[in-house]
Amino acid sequence: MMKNWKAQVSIGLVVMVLAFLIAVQFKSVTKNYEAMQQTSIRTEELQADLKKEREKSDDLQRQLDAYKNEVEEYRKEAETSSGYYKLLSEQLTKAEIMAGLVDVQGQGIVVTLNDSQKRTGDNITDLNVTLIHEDDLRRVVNELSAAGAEAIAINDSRIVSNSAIRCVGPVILVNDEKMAPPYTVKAIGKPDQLTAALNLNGGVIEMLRAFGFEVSIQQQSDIVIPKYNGTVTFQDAVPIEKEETAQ
Amino acid sequence: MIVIAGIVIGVLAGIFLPLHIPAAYSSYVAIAIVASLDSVFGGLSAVSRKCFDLKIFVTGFFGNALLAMGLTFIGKKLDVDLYLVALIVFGTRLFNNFSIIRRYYLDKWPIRRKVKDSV
Repeated sequence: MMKNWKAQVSIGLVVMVLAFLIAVQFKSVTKNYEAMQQTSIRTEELQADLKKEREKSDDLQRQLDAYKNEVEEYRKEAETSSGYYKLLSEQLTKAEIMAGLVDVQGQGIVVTLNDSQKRTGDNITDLNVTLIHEDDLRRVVNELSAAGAEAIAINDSRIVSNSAIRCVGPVILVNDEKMAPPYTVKAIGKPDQLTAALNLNGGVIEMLRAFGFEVSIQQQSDIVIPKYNGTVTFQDAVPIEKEETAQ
Repeated sequence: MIVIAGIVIGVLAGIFLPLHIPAAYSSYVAIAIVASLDSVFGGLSAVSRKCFDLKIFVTGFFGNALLAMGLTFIGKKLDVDLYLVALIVFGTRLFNNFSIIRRYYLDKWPIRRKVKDSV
């Protein structure tokens, strides 16, 4: 039959290519399938790990709650007993208010800030000037602190010693919580004093109103400010021990 | 003989060369396999009809493979399974060519028998 050597050689070459392709494809498909299976096995492992870690975290949370209850009991005991313990517990309460670790209530003011209602049609080229920025909030908080506010919260997020007010795209981050307008700044302190500080000539409120922002101040006799939601950990700051002077 | 040698060399090279085709490209290789299978059967049937032309064979092999892979590529981009077109054409021709080869050998077989009988 195949006398034509050209036909033999060319068909032989093509058959070689064919066999080569089939072998490579067979190998690759097997390998790809195995890889796919391994991926799904890995996913299952990770899911199991995640579940375990979550259970661990739940356990720790329960433990933490138990310890908190214990501390609460100790404190009650200390309050009822007299003298030194009472003094200590009063100091603790004061420190907790300062650190923002307890809910507090009292007289004060509520400042509400909202974006300007002006829109691009009203001779405004840059919409940025119609939005409340983190800097505006910071200025209000700063003014309140200076006027003797004892506790401040923005949208019920307590401002503490290490609170940050940051701009993150379209929202403002306060204590790592995302906030959007309207912003409600609550401050506990002498209402008249706080209002006067904000309404200073050329002060923060006047400036905000000049930009068209909606600002309102309400004096209230009973404001509740919640405690700080985050955790405060000190890893680097260590108190300096006072050396007893030998006299 | 050359055909069998080609199969052996091809399989060995495929097994032992450290070549791996990612999953994304395996459909192209698959369609190339079908295209070259079609070429082989086309060549064999041409030989049996005694009208084998090297130029037609070589251009057919490369042209068909490239066209089939191109169809697969465009089909993936357009989200239409265009490779099915190549698959159906190659598949049909595969069976046609096989029937031609089959007839050729079936026709030869009784002759041999007769020759044997006459001996």
